[in-house]
Amino acid sequence: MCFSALVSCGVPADGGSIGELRGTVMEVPILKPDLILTDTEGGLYDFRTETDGYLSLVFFGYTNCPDVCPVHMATLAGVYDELAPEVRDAIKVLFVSTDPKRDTPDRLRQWLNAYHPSFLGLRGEIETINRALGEMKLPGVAVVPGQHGAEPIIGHPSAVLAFGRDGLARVRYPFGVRRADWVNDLPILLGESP
Amino acid sequence: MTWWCFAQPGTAWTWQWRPLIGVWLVMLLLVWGYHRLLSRVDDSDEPSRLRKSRRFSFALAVFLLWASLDWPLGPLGASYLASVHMMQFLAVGIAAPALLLLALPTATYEPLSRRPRLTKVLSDLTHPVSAFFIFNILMTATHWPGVVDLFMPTQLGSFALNAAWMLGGLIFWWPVISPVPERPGFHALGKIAYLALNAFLIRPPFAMMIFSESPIYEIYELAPPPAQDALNDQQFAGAVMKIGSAWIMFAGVLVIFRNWMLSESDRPDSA
Repeated sequence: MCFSALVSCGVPADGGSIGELRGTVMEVPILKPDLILTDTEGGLYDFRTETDGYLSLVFFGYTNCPDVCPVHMATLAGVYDELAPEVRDAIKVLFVSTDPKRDTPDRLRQWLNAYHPSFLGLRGEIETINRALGEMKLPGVAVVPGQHGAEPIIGHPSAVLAFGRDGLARVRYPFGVRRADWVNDLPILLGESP
Repeated sequence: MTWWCFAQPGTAWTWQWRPLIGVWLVMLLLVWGYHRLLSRVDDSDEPSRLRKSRRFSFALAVFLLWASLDWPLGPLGASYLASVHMMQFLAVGIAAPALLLLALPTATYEPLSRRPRLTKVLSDLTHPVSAFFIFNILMTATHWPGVVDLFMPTQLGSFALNAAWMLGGLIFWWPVISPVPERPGFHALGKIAYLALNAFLIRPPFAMMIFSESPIYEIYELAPPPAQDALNDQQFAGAVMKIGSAWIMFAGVLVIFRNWMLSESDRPDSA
């Protein structure tokens, strides 16, 4: 149903332009990766199974990130406040840590709670994360050692990927996407009017 | 080398001190200009207390300008927090212009009488009606989201906005503060009404900041910490703009009212 709704909104199956969307439409849709991670409660989280039927917004970052991560999370938290409850309930926001050493489950949960308690925090081995990033055509994690004893800086993708209910990501949201853009796009991605 | 604070979207804030050379130069220029003015203008006929209060007004104006434009408030307001940006506006666009005009000896205006063309232009610009419109149009334009997002990311644009605030503030306060003999008709009651009207006036940017469901300024919405919730910060900024400017205007009303009462009681036919 979702897929047909998306098509009716102008999303071709092979990607291409989507008239009303403000995110960056990808030429080739990306299939949801087969990824098993650990949530902040310590349980296993099968990305495909757990997000099946939801619009999933996936972002790879770390809690010590000084710029991109807090801005994306704050923007999405603000978006949640503006969405109708039925739209909000159909969306899952997943924050996958690219710094599992420092992002302990408690630290990750605490950090995400500052934005929205419903945001999911996930962890995994860097090799697993990099493999998933590769499948999603995103750059891998790069650790840049901190200077003069400072904490390391973790290079990570700056875009949020939006996986539709059909398991395909056709739109990505780079840094700079605003709250009003999300509020416009999310109902469209769910097959509803903005 | 950074010479004026400007917005740097996506750049993380650090508490590392940064010099803002342009701000220091402007402050030095102001101090040098005031010193030069005082050496050229004869203010000896003014009471010593008034002369001291003029110098104090000038020092306070320079302090306000420096504190609000230099690090850390300058970069914080330019790039991270709309609420700090509005505090800068109160300092640069409302408080400092009033203090700078109060700092000028009456004799400053005497040369104007020898320059009728300049006097005419100045009189037209600073007529209460023109001043009201110029100030409010400038304030609305310089807080319009598209204008702020366009100008703030460059040093020149950011400087232009600050200069426009200062210019607007000087024009706004001129009919109230400057002893311009060409307008003896602007009575204390008129000044009180003029300030009260501006205190109560709801300007479009204020309404947008308070009532918009989304952040209206891109630079503050996409600012990394210490910015947190851009909408809360924006609403706080709206409150700062409205309540802060109203308090300054009401302070002006109180001073005018007090001076008016004192002058009435000093009249020979009073009592």
